[in-house]
Amino acid sequence: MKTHDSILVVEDNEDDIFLMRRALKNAHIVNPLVVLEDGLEALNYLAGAGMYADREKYPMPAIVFLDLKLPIKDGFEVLKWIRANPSLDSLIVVVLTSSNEPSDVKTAYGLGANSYLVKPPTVAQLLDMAKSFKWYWLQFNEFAPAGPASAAVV
Amino acid sequence: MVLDGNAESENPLALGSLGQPPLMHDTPHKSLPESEQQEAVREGAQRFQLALSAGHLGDWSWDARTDVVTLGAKACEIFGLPVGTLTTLSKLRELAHPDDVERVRRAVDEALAKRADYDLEYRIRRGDSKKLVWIAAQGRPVYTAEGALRGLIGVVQDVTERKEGEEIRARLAAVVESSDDAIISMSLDAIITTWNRGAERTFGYAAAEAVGRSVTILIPENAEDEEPRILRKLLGGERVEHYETVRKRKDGTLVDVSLSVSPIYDSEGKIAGVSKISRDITERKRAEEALRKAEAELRRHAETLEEQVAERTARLRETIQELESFSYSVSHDMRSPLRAMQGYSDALLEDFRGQLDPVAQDYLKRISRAAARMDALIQDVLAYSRVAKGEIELTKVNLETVISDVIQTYPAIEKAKADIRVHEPLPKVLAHEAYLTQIISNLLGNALKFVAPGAAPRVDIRATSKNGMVRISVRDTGIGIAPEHQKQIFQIFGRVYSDKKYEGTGIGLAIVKKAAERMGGSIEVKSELGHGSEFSVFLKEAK
Repeated sequence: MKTHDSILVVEDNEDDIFLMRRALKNAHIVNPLVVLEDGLEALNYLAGAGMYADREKYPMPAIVFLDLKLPIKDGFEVLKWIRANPSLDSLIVVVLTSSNEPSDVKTAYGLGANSYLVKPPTVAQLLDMAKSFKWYWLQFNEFAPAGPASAAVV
Repeated sequence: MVLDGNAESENPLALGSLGQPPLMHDTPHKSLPESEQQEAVREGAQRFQLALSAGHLGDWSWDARTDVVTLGAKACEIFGLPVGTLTTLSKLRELAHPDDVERVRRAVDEALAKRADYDLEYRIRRGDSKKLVWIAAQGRPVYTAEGALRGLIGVVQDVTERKEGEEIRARLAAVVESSDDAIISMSLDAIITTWNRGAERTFGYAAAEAVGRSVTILIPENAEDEEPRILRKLLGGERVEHYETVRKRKDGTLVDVSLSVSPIYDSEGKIAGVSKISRDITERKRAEEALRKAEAELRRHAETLEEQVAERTARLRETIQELESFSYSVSHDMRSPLRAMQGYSDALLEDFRGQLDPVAQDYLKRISRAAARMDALIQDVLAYSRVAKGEIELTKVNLETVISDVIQTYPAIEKAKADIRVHEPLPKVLAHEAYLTQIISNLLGNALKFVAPGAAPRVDIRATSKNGMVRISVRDTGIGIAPEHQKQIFQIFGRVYSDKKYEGTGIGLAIVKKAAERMGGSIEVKSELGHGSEFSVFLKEAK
């Protein structure tokens, strides 16, 4: 993943957004951060609907941080929509939520989440998570090339 | 007609000793010549014999002067005595049935006193077979020309057959009469011919009112064709099974009856009438109706009950759903402000460290710790409610794996420099893995936490199986628990130490106990203050 590829954060809690931005910054993650505060907005962004059609200004993200409890459309609905959309096959979706309910974890994976993270309570733990994220997802993880998946071409 | 060859003619006139045949003393004509007169007497005797024989009558006579009773052959046969027997009146009476003797004596005495005939029926025990037979005896006192009593003459007849027939008829009549059922007979043109008391009771008409009237008085308005139909069936030779119908009483009310109809045949085998037996089944019908109503009521109750159960189940489900969504929102929404409190105070400490004096830094740390404690509390409450609710499935769980996972992921272990020894091999248990993990994690956490300041914790984990149960014991060398506190520690918020001394939510052991119980197990503790504790969890062994 290149440093200019963007990360989409779908999160409605401004405290969490602040702490997240801070942790990512402290972990030296420089990728541009797009923050959307409700599920419907996330769908429009990913679909390139309306003003989001301008991909220069609103680039397609490589990774989505998705909260589950969101206004209008919740995280599960967003996830379901993403996985039903073939053009978003290789989009990495990381659920980042305060819920550690087993049923939520199960549902998220069932709908095709790539990872499930529970928001850590302390700044130190959040920083640890940001660093791990950086190493794993930004450094080592291999992303699919842009464009539709090969299976979809055939 | 010559009857000389007849056995009875050998004793032509039993009353011979009295001079002439008693019942014919007027017959011979005194003006006829002697030979003719004798002829007439003989002929009269023959006619007499013929009459006796035709009527199956035996003749007898009693001579008052000698007290001798002379019996004719037929009379001897009736009394069961040898032919030609001479006896006395009192001897003869010994044959009479004891219950009848008095009646016979009175009748005879009365006849003698009134100079009149007597005629009575009574029982005797036959002289030969000792069989009880009914006889009809008629007697007449006879007198001399001067009016003195000469004796008695009479006839006797065996009437046993007729008496028995009468008795049977009487018994049958009594049966019919005393029956609760209405027993009616009618002619073929539907005129009532007999009517018993049961019919009176059932239909309200007295026999006198009903007999001679048409049976249609009993038929309700809308069923006029019923009787003719039944009658046609019978006349056609069809059998009429008994059936249930409705009849009308004298007072116009209706009565439910069960009816059997059968033909009455005359001596030539032709149907001469019909007999009907009606049983009043109003009570039965009423009982049936009551039963039907009770059943319907019961069914309605069952339905209502079912509805209520369904309704309550739905309400309960709704409540559970509400509780679940509450705990969900607790986990989601209530923890997020805590995260903010903790996050901002941590961020302040990090980002503005140089600008904050030690007091300000201490305040921020306290805020952070308080938020962390609140978060832990919420987590534990959630863990407890998760353990308390929902259906779980028990599977074979590898205890060694679970324990090793807990130890590896437990954050405080390294810090505590703990000496944890797992005494393998451990038996497999029947458990829910998440619950078992929670149990081990909480017990291990306590073992590491409750140690004297500065001491290094030592924990021994063992498991032994006995009688299909596995005892998992976690033993520490910590501060121990006073006996008076050993019950309280398993209750929610059942804390023994202040939060300042040993941090915790006070829910950990309650979770352990609940989880063990949910898996069909139990927990117990052995501890002595200052000498460590041993917690034992009992679970079913997996084969």
